[in-house]
Amino acid sequence: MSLPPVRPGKIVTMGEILVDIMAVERGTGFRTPLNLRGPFPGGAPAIFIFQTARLGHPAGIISCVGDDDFGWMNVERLQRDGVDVSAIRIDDDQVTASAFVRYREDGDRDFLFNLKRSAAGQTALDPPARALLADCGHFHVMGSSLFSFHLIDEVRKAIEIVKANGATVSFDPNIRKEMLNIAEMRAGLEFMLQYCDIFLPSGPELMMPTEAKTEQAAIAELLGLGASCIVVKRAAGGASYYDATRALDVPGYPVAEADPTGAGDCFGATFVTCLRQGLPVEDCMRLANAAGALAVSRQGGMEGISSLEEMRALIARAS
Amino acid sequence: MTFGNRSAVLQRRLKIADWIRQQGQMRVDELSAALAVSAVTIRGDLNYLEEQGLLVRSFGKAIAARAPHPRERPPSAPLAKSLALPMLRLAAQVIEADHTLLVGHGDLPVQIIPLLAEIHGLTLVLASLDAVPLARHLLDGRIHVLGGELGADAVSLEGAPALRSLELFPITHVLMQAEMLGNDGGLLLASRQAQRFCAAACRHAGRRIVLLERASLSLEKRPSELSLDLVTDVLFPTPPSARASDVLAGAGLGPVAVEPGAAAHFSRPHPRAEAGNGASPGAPP
Repeated sequence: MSLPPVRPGKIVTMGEILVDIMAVERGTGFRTPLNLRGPFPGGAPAIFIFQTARLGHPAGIISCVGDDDFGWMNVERLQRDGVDVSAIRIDDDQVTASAFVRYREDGDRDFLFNLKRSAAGQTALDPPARALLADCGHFHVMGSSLFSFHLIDEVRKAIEIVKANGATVSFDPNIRKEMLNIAEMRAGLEFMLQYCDIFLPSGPELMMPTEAKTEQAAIAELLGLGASCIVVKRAAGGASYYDATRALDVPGYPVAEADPTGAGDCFGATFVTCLRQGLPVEDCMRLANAAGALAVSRQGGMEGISSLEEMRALIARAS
Repeated sequence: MTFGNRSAVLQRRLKIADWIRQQGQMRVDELSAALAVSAVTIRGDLNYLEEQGLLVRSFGKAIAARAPHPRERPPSAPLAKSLALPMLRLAAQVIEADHTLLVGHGDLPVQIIPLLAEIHGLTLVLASLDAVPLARHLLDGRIHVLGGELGADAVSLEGAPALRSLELFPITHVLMQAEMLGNDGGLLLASRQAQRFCAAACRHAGRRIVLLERASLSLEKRPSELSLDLVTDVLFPTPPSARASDVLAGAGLGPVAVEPGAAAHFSRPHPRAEAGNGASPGAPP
């Protein structure tokens, strides 16, 4: 099944805008006083849409932040780069969401999130959000945004609206181990698969929603559910594209790793945007890989985004 | 096919939430029959949805939660009286004796009428028909009514004739209503009609007073915005944030000391209000 025809309009995402606060020293957890750096603007949907806008595609985000410095820092950053922020609600009562991050010695990360009881937890399809969706050609969901029943309900309503208008949908599970404690999340991840045209799992996220024992079987099962294509992100190992007619592996670009925050988000945004702009799949994969590599080579989530020129330059250097 | 197991419960609960939103309320036995699961299962689902704030349980029924939280509060939901009244009292303190007040459109400006009874020699110009009985019963001064086309709400007088008839009166004060303050200094109004009306009124009155339905800042962009530069007084039902205060300060509006209470008043230094002393933004006396 080929990708449905492209409906003109913005790429829109919906979900958490937050600040990242990062521990300087490696180690486990947050039980002792640490040196912390931040706040940095962040949130997977925000990084995704920021990268989309940097590639020159009209972009918007539905979200909710507090009327506080954390919120305004994010709003101003997005606004400066041309993201449509009219559907970000400013909440008087709640604070902007936050994520504390600490790297372990082995490179894995521990997180401490404030999402559900933050402004992000109040994200809803109010009139400005619906106005943005009316102009949506493609809708992207991050699994990290499915952290409460209310959010899953709102995202589902948004998907029904955009699909009725002929828009396409992409989904990146973006799983953090801390979020798997949230009862709704696993169910939400599986539930999302029935709606998505482009599925963007990272490595083992591919197998999670299926009963399949091999990658091949998982791919077949997911394509059978209605996805047009699946792109498996493999970090330094590059990425793989699958649809009903072919499979394509693209190697990663070696870079000195500074911070993987947002790399998958930049990859996904670049792949989806380039595909919508009519580039052949091979190009989309190479550019997305470059976007991911550049993001990893820089500190911080939002700082990791790059321009088309920078991506092409990296690809040229590597070949 | 085993796919779908993990989300079966979620999907059922999403369906229940949707139905109850549409129907307003449903009974446990109705849901049990429709979804082909036991009443015990449904009660478990309803307990969960009640915890998530989507409904309220009551005697075998589930009733859609009236969202007191502004998540999805429709723009037309009126401001609670307990919040409107202190704000209106502050507005009444701005109205001076022997002047002419234009009472603008919306559900808030008309509520000031009972508070004007002790202002000596006040002349009213009314832009909504529902203000007429109130004014007639409560006030002694002269009462004028604008001409114009009857609006969709069946009480507002609008359109070109209303704008022209504004000019017939020596209006010194105008009381207007806006939904929210925009982050870029624009007051969000209900419609283009409202914007044309308020802009015209601001050209005539010396004191231009806006009542806000909500204290939150908005990032929404609308064609029907009124610039803060055109008004002299902004009233909030609840205290605005530091950021909102900055937006107001940027337009020359500073806080006015008021008695303790929820409502807040921001004003620019103003010359004594006179007829035809129209919109000179922020000019100090």
